[in-house]
Amino acid sequence: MNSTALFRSAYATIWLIVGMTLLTEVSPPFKALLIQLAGQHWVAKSIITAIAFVVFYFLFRKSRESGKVFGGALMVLLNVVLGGSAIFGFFVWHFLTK
Amino acid sequence: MGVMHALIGLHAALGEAGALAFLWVLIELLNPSASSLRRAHIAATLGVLFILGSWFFGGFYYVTEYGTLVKPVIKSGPLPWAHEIITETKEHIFLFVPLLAVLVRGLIGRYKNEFMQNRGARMGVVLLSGLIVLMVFTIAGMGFIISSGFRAALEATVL
Repeated sequence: MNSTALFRSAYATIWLIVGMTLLTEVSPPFKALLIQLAGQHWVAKSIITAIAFVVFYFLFRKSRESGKVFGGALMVLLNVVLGGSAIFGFFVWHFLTK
Repeated sequence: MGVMHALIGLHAALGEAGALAFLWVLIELLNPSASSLRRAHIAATLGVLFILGSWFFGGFYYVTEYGTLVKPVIKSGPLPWAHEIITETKEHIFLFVPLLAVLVRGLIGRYKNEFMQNRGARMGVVLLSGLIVLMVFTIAGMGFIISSGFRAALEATVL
């Protein structure tokens, strides 16, 4: 496996999850599309997440491997913290302003 | 109701087993040897399987039971934020965990012959394994808050 491709796929998929989560809440047509795809918006997001990770890996698999695994792991940590905070912050804001 | 308890139990137990598997990975990589790297490889594979199982049973519960039986009760109770903030956050940040698990398993597969010499790669995997453990236990705590929201709503009507 190519570690650079794995890291890039992880960053891209994390932000895809964040994007889908927020878009579902602000765009009824997008939510309807997800429901149409899988019957339930969270199930659709789950399926898209799994497929996207694999597709991103294949897109990035020819990347030159940097070998900087610790730096990549730190970037994943940063992306998880920022992405998770964006999701949590959005739902706090959504609840308080409803 | 019996199905609901079984699904929650499977979701939580498989999630905790996944967290323990990645804690095992972390410990094996702190002071590596040929045998500990072999065990880390097995633990990461088990961890991925447990997390995927937790994803499946949690999702099945969420779609078949939570939305119709639990969510309306929490939203009409004294702690509606338990659903509006905590469930909504939990169900989405959970999606990070399987991809982190596959990432760790992939890195172990890629670097298993280099970990003894490559401390940076080893510490990277240790960091990610620790992140998975922390995330799973945070998510378990969120599960407690959600069930408290459900209990509070039932207590408000029964007591």
